[in-house]
Amino acid sequence: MNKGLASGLVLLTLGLGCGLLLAGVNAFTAPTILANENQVKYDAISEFYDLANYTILEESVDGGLVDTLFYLSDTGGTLQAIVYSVKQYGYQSNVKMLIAISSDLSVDGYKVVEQAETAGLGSLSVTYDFNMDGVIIPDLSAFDSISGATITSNAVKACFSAVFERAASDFGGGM
Amino acid sequence: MNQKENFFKGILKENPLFVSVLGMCPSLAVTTSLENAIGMSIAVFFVLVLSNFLVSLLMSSKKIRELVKPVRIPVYIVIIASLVTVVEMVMHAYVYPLYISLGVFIPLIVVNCIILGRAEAFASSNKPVDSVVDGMGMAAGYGLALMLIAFVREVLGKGTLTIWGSLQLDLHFIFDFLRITPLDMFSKPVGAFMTFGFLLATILAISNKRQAKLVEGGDKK
Repeated sequence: MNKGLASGLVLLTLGLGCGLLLAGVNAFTAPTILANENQVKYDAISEFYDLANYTILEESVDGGLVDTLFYLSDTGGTLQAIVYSVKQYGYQSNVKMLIAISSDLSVDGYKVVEQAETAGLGSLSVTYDFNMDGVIIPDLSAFDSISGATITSNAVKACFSAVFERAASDFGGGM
Repeated sequence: MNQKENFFKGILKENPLFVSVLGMCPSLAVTTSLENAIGMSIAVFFVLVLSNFLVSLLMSSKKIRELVKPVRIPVYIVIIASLVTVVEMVMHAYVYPLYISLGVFIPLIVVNCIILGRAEAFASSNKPVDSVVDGMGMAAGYGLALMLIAFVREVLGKGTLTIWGSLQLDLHFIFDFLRITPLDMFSKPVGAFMTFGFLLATILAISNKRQAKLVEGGDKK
C-alpha cells in the first residue's frame, strides 16, 4: 500500500476513535450542560422579576437571532412580560443575552449570560450598562457602546434590535 | 535518569513556565485568581499526562511509528484536541462557574506549546511509563508556577485568596493594618507581566547564586 495513504488511514482511524470518545462523553455531559444553561437563564430572569408571582411559559423559535421566549403571566393569566433569549456572533464568540420587555413595551432589564469575548474588552459586556433600561421600543438611540469593543457592542445592539422588531407582535399588537 | 529525577525536572530544572518560558499567554490571562490557576492546572495535568501516554503508546510500536511519522503533528493535535474537548465538556457540565471564568483559555490548551512540545520532544521517543511521569512532573511544575503567580496577583490586586468556589480568604485586614488598598493593577494584564517578571528575576537570581556556589565549591576541591 502507498505509504502516504497508509499514514492518512492511521490519522483517519485515530480521528474516528477520538470522535467516538467525544460522542460518549457528550452523551454523559449534555443533559447536565443543558440543565446548567437553563438554570443560568432562570437565575437571570429572577434578577428582573420575582418568579414567585408569575407563571412562565417557554417557547422555542427557529430562525433569526431570538431562540427562546419566556412568557411571564401574572396569577390572573395576563401576560405581563416576555424575556427573550437572543444571540449574535461578536468578535470571537456568540454573545448570548436575555432581554426582558414588559407589556408597556419598555425594556425591564437585560443581561449577557454567555460570551467568550476578549478578556478586559468584549468580556466587559457581562456587567456593562448599555443604557437601555426603561427604553421604550424601538428606540435604540440611547444605546451606549463599550469603548474598544465595537464588534461586541454591535452584537449586543443587534440582539436588542432583533427583540425590538418582534416584541410588539409577540404581545399581540403591531407596529 | 530515574523516575524521581524525571518527575522533579519538570518542577525545578525544566519548569515549563519559569525556565522554558512556554505557554505564557493563557498563564498570564488566567492567573487573576488562585481558583482559576488551580482549575487550569488540573485541566492541563489531565491533558498533558494523557496526551503523553497516548502519543508514547502509539509510537512504541515500530510499524505504527513509521506510518505516523509523516503525519505526527496532525496526530498529536487530534489526540490533544480530543482530550481538551473532553475537559471542556466535563468542566461545562460539572464546574460551570470555573468554565465561565476560564472561558476561551480552555479550548486554547490545544495549542499550548508545553503539551505539543512534550509530545514531540519526550513522549514520541520514550516509554509510556516514563512519558506519564514526565507529563506529571511538567504539569505539576506548570501548575505550581501558575498558582505562585495567581497567589501574588490575587493577594496584591484584590486582597483576597479564592481557593475554590466560596472558600475564600479575606486578607483586607492586612491592607487595613498597613493603611493601603489593594492595587487593582495586579488584576490587569500589566500586573500579570510585572508579577511574572519579578518572579522570573527572583528565581533566576537564586538559581545563579546556587550555581555560583557550586562552581566555587568545585574550584576549592
